[in-house]
Amino acid sequence: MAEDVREALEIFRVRETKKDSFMARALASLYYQLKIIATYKMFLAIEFIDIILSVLIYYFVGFLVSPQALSSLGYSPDYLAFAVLGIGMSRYLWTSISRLAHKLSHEISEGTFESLVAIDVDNFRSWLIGQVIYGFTWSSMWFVGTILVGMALGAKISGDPILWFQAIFILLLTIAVHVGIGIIAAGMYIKHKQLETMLVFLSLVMEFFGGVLYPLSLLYNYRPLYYIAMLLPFTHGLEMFRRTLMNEWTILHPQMLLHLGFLLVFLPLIYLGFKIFERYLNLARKEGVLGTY
Amino acid sequence: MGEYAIVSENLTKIFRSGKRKIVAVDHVSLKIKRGEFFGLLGPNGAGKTTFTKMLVTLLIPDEGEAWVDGFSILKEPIEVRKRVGWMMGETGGRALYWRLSGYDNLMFFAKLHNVPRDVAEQRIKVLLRFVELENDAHKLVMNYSTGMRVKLMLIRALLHNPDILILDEPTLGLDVESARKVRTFLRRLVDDLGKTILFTSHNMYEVEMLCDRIAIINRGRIIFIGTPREIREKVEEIKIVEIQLAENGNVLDDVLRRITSLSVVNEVLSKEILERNIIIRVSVTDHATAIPEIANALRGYNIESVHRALPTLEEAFLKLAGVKIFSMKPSGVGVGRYGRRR
Amino acid sequence: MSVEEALEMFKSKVSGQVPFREKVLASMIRRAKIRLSYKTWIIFDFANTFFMVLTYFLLAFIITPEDISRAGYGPSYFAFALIGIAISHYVTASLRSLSMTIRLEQFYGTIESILSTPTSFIVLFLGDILYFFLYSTIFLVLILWLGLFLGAPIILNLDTALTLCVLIVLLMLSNLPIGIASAAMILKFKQGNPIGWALTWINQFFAGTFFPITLLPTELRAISFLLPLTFSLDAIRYSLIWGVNLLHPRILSDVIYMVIYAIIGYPIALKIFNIVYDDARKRGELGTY
Ligand SMILES: Nc1ncnc2c1ncn2[C@@H]1O[C@H](COP(=O)(O)OP(=O)(O)OP(=O)(O)O)[C@@H](O)[C@H]1O
Ligand SMILES: [Mg+2]
Repeated sequence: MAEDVREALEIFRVRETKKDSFMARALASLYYQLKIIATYKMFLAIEFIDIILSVLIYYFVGFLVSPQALSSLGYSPDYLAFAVLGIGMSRYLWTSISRLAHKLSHEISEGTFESLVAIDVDNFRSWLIGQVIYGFTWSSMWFVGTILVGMALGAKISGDPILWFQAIFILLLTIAVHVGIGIIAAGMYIKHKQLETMLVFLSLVMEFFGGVLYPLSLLYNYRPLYYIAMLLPFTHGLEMFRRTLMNEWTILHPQMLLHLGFLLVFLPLIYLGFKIFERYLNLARKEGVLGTY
Repeated sequence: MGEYAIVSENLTKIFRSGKRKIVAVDHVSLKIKRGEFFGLLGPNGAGKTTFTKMLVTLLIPDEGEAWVDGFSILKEPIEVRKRVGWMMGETGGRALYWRLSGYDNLMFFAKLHNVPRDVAEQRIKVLLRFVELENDAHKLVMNYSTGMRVKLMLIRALLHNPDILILDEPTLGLDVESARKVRTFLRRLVDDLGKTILFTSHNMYEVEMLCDRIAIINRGRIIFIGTPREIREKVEEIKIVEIQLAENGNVLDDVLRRITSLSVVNEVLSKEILERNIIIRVSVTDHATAIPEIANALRGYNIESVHRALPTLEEAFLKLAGVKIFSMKPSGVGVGRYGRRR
Repeated sequence: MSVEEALEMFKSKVSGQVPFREKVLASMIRRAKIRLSYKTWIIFDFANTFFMVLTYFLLAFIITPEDISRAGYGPSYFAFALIGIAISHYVTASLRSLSMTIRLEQFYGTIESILSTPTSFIVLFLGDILYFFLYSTIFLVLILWLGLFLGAPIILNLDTALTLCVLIVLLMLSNLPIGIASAAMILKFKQGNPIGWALTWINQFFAGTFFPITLLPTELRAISFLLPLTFSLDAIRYSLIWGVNLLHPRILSDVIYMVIYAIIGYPIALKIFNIVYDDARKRGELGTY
C-alpha cells in the first residue's frame, strides 16, 4: 500500500522541466489518433470497401454517359475520370470545412474541451493542428485510394509528373482556402453552437455547386444557379484540378488563370480565420461559455 | 417458498475473458424473507452487481437457480421481471435516454412496465415532487446533474409498484440530504407496505443503519450473514490504535520492531509512509493500556499522535471473514469498464 | 414533500395492462424525439437528398438512355435514378434500424433497463421500424414530388400509388431478415456501424440504385439476385415508369421473389438472433459496448 502511494506521489514530485516542441506535440496528437484508428481494423476494411464501391458505381454509370455529350462540354470523354477526380477532391472539402467544428462539438459534448483549453493555449493550438493534419491524412488516403481504383478501372487521368505537380499545387491552394473557412466557422462555433448545421449545409451546397458528378456547364441553362456556382471557391478549384488532369491544361491557359484569380481572392481567409478563431476563443473564455453545450 | 421473496441456491456466474476465468459469483445461497430489508455489502468487484443482474434475469447463471417471488429466474423470466423493480448500479445515471426529458423517460418505462397512463401520471408527479425534480421534469436528462439522474433512476424502479426491489447502490452520487431522504423512504416502504428490498452498497454505515439483515460478499462468496447488531458486536471486538509519527520511512523497521515486541499489540494491520509521516495501525487487546505503552516504546521518535481508531471496513471484513480483502479502493462514480458516453 | 405522501402512491395495487399498440407507439415516439433532437443530422439528411436528386437530374442530360430502356425502364435516366433515391431510406431503415436500436440502447446504457421490464424487446423494434417507415415516407413523397416538378416521366395515379404502398411494405418485409441478422452481429461484435454502412452500400450497388444491373458482368449479377432489394427496385421502377399495377406479370414475379425471401429469411434470422442474444446474456455483455 505504502509503496504504490509513494510511487504515485513520485509522479507529481518532479516539476516538468522539458517541454516538447510545438510540432512534436502536434505530431504526438496525430500519432495517437492514428493508433486509435488502427485498432479499428474493421473500420479500415469497410472504408476500403466504401472507396471501391463508390468508384465502381460511377464506373458503371459511366457506361450510360454519352462520350459525345461530355466532350461537347469540353472535357475529355471519360466520365469515370471526371467522377473520380470529383469525389476524390470533395473529401478534402468536407475535411477542410467541417472537421474542426465537428471535432470541437464532439470535444465539447464529451466535456473534454475545457480541460484542453485549460492546460494552455499553446497546447490547444497544437491540438488544432494535430486535428487538421489527422483529417488530411485520412482524406488523402481516400483521395489516393479513389484515384488508384479509378485508374485501375481505366480512368484516363494524366500521368505526367509536371501536370501532377500542378494538380497538387491546385489541390493545396483549394484546401488552404477552405481551411480558412473551416477555421472561421470553428471559431464562431465556440460561441454559436447552432452553427454546425449551417456548416454541414454549406459543405453540401459547395459540393453540389462544385459539380462533383456533373459538368458545370449543364447549369448554364439555369443561370442563377450557375452564378452561385461561380461564386464558390470550390467550383474553381475542382474545375482547375480536372482541367489539369483530364485536358492537360497548364496553369497558363487563360481559363485556368481566371479560375486561379478567383481562388486567390479567397486566400486571405486563412489569415482571417486564425484571427477570428482567437477572438472567439478569448470571448468564450471571458463569458464562460466554453463548456456549455 | 411462500415466506421468501428471493431464494438463491448455489447461484454461480463465471466470466471468461480469453484464458482468464473470473468466478464473479460463487455458489451463493441466500434466502430473503418477504418484508425484509436485506443488504449486500462488499468491496469493488465482489460480485454484487453480477448477483443482482442474475436475479433480474439479465444474466444467465452458469450453475444454480434462484426464485423471485416464487418464480424461477431460468424458467419464468417474464414473471420475475413483472415483480421486480431494479435499479442499475454504477452507471452514474447513464442508463437513461439523455435526449428525452425526465418525464418522458419515466412515462416510457411506465408503459413498458404495464402501468396505465393515468396511474403513471399520478405516480410520476408525486415521485418527482418527492425527489425535488418537479421543476426539472421537462428538461432533457442530458442537462441533469449526476445526482438528479440517480434520483430519476430510482423513481423509475418504483413506478410499477413492485413488491420486490433490487437496488444496486441506489444512493451513490446523491448528496447527504437526498441520500437520507431516500433511505427513510426505502425503510418505510418495507415497514409500512411490506415490500422486500435487496440493497447493495459498499457503505458499511448505510447498510448497518437500514437493513434487517446483511450479507457480506467477497470475491463472489458470501462470507458472513447476520443482523447489523451481530456485525457490530463482531466489529467492536476489534480494538485499533493508530500511530502517527513525523519521521521518514527509513525508521520504519525499527518502529515496527519496537511496537510488535509489546504484548498488548496483536498485529500490525497497515503501515503507510507519506513524505515525512508514518501512519501505522495495529490491533490491540485493550485500548487503555496499549496507548501509553506504545507511546512509551516509541520514545525518542517524533510522535504526532497515538489514538484509538474505529476499524475501517476492510479491517471489519478481515475480522468477520478471517480473510484479507484486497482492492478496497474507494468507489467512484461512473468509472470503469462501461466506458464513457458521448 | 414528505415521505408519507410518496408512500401513499404505493398503497393501491393497480394491475393493468398497457395495450401492445400503445407500447409500440410510445416506443416510436421516443425514437422520433431522440432522432429529431439531432437537428444537424436531420438537416443534412434532407439537404443531401435534395442535392442528390438535383445532381442526377443534371447528370441525366449527358446520359444516353439506351441501356436503361434495354433493361426495360423506359427512356429517362432521371426517372430511373429518382426512384432509386426515393426508396433508399426504406432500404436503410429495413437493413439498419434494428442494429441501430441495439447499438444506441447499448450506448445509452438503457438496454438492460429495458430488458428488465416484462415487455419484450420486439416492441422497441416495432416502434423503431415504424418511426423509420414514417420518416422514409416523408422522403418518398418529397422526392417524388420534386422529381415530378423537375419533369421526371413517372406515372403516379391511384393504381400505381397503391401498388407502390404494397411494394414498399414488401420491400421492408423482405429486407428485414438481413437487418435482424446484422442486429445480431452487433450484439456479438459490438463494432456495428461500419457493417451497417457496408451492408447498405453493397445492397444499393448490387441492386442497381444508380445503374441497371444489366451492366454488371454476369458473375457479379449473380450477387444481385441474392438480394431481395434487386426485385423490390425492379418492381417499383417498372410500376412507376410504365404505370402498371401488381397484376403485371413482371411485378408479380418480383413479388413472389420477395415473399420467398421473407419466408426463408425470418426463421433463419430469428434463430441467429436468439442464439446470439442468449449468448450475450450468458457472457454478461448485453450492456457493454
Ligand atoms: N461482463 C463481464 N465480463 C467479464 N467480467 C465481468 C463482467 N461483469 C463483471 N465482471 C467481473 O466480475 C466481477 C464482479 O463484478 P461485479 O460488477 O459484480 O462487482 P460489484 O460487487 O458490483 O463491484 P462494485 O462495487 O464495483 O460495483 C469483477 O471481477 C468484474 O470484473
Ligand atoms: Mg456493482
